[in-house]
Amino acid sequence: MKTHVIFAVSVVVLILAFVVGSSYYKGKQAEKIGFLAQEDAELFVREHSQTLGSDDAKVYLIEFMDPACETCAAFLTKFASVFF
Amino acid sequence: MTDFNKKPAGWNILFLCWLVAGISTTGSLFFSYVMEFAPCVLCWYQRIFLFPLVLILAVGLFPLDKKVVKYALPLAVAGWLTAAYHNLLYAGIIPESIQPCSQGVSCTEEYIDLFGFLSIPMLSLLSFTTIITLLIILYRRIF
Repeated sequence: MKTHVIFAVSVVVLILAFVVGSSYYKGKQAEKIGFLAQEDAELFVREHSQTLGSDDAKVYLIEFMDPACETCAAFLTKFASVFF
Repeated sequence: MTDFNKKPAGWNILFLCWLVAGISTTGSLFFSYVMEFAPCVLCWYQRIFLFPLVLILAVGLFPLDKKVVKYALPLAVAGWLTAAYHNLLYAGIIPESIQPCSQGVSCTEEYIDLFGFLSIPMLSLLSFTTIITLLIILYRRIF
């Protein structure tokens, strides 16, 4: 029946529009957020900062550390092997 | 000889009506799940009236049942009234002190503003208006 075909095609088109639309939108959002992170990277990564690993890594793990902080010392004593 | 493959009178109109409800539903779900615009209380009520129309109108298409107008119109009218109230609130004509949204997202939250006048409540009102108009046209055609 031709009517069934028209209806079925419409349902498929609607679902497709939703799926395509959402992946497009999510892609745009990811771009935006990724870009923002790059811009703010300067705030956290200074010229004099110690770095380990490639500068082009996809993920930056930034350590906030105070040499006079007892908690930092305790933490690093236990977990240094995980990071370094 | 009768052509069994011919579309019954009014089928196209009812199909168009379903399409409007379908596109509106898809759009509404896109706004809430993909763009993460949280629906306010009035939005929820309009969705309650809109979403069943997608099913009811679809059922009325196969085979074409005249009574679908009787079942769809109350929902569409209820949805239209809610949308009209929402738009008045959105435009500031009804003061916010008597609006029902006390918790959660405000009903006057501006999510989108297309061409200077199309807000989400306005889209909803246009959608319900179109559905009601098409149902009335269908009614006159087949009764």
